[in-house]
Amino acid sequence: MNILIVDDQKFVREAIKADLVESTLEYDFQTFEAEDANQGMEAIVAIDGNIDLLILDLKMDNSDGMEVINFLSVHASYADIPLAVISSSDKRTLGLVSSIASSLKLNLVGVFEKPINMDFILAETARLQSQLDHKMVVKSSESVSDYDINQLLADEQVLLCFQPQVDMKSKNIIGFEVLARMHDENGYIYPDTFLPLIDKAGLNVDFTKIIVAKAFKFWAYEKALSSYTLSINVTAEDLSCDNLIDYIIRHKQAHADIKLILELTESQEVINQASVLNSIARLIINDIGISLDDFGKSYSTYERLDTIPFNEIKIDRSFVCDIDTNEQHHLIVESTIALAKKMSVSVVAEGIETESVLNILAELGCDIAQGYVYSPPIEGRYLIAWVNRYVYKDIAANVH
Amino acid sequence: MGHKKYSYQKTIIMRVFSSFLKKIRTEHNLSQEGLRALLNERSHSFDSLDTISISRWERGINTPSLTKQSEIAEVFGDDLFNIYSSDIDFVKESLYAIQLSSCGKNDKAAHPYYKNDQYHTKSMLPDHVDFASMLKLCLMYEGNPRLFPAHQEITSTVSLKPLNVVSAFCNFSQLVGHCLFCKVNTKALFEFMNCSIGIMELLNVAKQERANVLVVLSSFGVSPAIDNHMMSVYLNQLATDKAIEYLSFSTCDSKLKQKLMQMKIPMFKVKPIEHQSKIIQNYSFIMSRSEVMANRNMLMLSVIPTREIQPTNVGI
Repeated sequence: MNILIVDDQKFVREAIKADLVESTLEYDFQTFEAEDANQGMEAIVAIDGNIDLLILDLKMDNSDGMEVINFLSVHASYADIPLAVISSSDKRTLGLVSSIASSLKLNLVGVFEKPINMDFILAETARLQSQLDHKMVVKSSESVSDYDINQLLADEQVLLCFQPQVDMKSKNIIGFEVLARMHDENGYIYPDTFLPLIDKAGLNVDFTKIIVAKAFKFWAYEKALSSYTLSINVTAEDLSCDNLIDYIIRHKQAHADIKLILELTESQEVINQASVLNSIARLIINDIGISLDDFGKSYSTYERLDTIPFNEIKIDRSFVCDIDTNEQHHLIVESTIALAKKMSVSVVAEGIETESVLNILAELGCDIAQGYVYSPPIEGRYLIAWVNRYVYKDIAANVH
Repeated sequence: MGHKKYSYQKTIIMRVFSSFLKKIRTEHNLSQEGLRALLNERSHSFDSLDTISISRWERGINTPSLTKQSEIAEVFGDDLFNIYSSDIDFVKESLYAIQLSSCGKNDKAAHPYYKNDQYHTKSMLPDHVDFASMLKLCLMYEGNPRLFPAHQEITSTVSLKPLNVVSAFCNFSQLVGHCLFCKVNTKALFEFMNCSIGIMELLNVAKQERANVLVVLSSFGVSPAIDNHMMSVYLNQLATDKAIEYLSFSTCDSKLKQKLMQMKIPMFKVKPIEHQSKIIQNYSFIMSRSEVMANRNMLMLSVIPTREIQPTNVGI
């Protein structure tokens, strides 16, 4: 096992080597040392990337570990060197480095706070390596796209599920977000699998049309649902297609009583195109609500606020789900709600799973709640039964 | 390769469904056109359905996905589990498929003392004499620190009431598989998944409120056949208890996680747990009853009857 230690302090390098000698996990190893980022990169090149573990100090006297991390990411042949980052920085910095390393697709063993436990790092390295070997096997035996997306769409193998949105004060149902599932002879297929395939096949617009048509048909047929809003996801790319905008507006005009909201996701570059802004204007004129989906997730969130006259902000689930334990997420959600109040738009929080998260959101003045705490996505054919049960239970609860 | 193995199942599924379709059409005195119109009216999944497709389904030339089959069945007040579990050939085929996967070419299944010989299973509730020791073994295998509180209080089995342990033994009472599950309600389960409540509270809530989800806390077999068999135990429970709306897994066993992912079940969440300065990943899954039944692998496992392993209170 070749181990490269990049740390500016000699005693740290010596301590690691001493740990390695005593380690019960690894007997046969060779260590290389470097005292700054440049030496480290030279060493990697010199041994031709033949390294089984790179131990990297984040903060060094005249350089920093980020240089080495960037170096690894731009040289594909070095990107899979198992990397253990060690540092005495605070937890937030460690977390940041960890997410940078994983977004650069480096082979990160972990980010470890000093003083480090060498046995633990070695065990983690071994575990990761065995997982990686295992993953390779799984991948090769199962090709990524064993779905014929064209056929699935042609066969109408699409199913609509609905997740309720509930008013936080009155606890009344406000509306439902449409969530699509596909299915084949083996079972359900979920968006993280089929959306990339649809995208690759260039069928985004066709897919959105199918969803719109099915959702409208369902809402028009089930009169009991007409008082609830119907939220459908669209991407900014969708909006640059005039044909689709016409299609949606035609549906809305044919069913003026259906309260349609389009939840808008993704890229700023597209949103700022004149054609997209034009589409949004047409939708709004036709009484279709616009909701900013995944709020806070993209970098350009605040610019979007400025350009689009939307009615609703949806705070991304990744911020909401743990506001009871994650202080930063709590701050983000709190300020987003405050901002929405000032702009007089309503706020929907999605990804609520527990009572304590729900209570915090109520305190913060969030308007609408969505999440498993109310219900997992419900298949269309069971929706009326769910609504009846919810309404009945609510009445029963109020009587008591 | 794998295709051969599945093609047979496919033909059986086709045959079961085609005879179901013919049967309901006769019973309800419907023409193919009448059936088409009825489905079109009742469900939004059949917007472009034509009589040619219905005719093909009936002749077994092709078959709709299980999801569509279940919609059709429900229009006639029936369900997939009922249709497939009452077909002897399908059940036989499912049993066969369980054995089949054990004859895989990878010898990873090789086990020090288990050589594909006979085994028997036993279901135990907390009042069973062996419950505590079997539970302990389950927990040891699972290594989920969140289940350890239960471990400590094993002496008072009353508090463990909703828990269910099923163990598989081969000769000489060697343990070769197990599953640990209980029926709780979703609200409490999400609190548990988010670490807002512990296992004891989860079990406690389960005693008071109407259960609507079956949660599996551990599931394992030394061979793929036993592993599948263990899975079939709780899938069959779910299928037969109509009050249960969801199936869930909460596990730290990466083998079980892998298996579920291979069955194309999406992971709900991963929660890292710090335990003795180590990080252990806790994986959660949740799916609705109809998702379970529309999953071919799960449907096949669910129809295997567990009559021979009904809860028993007799010691070994």
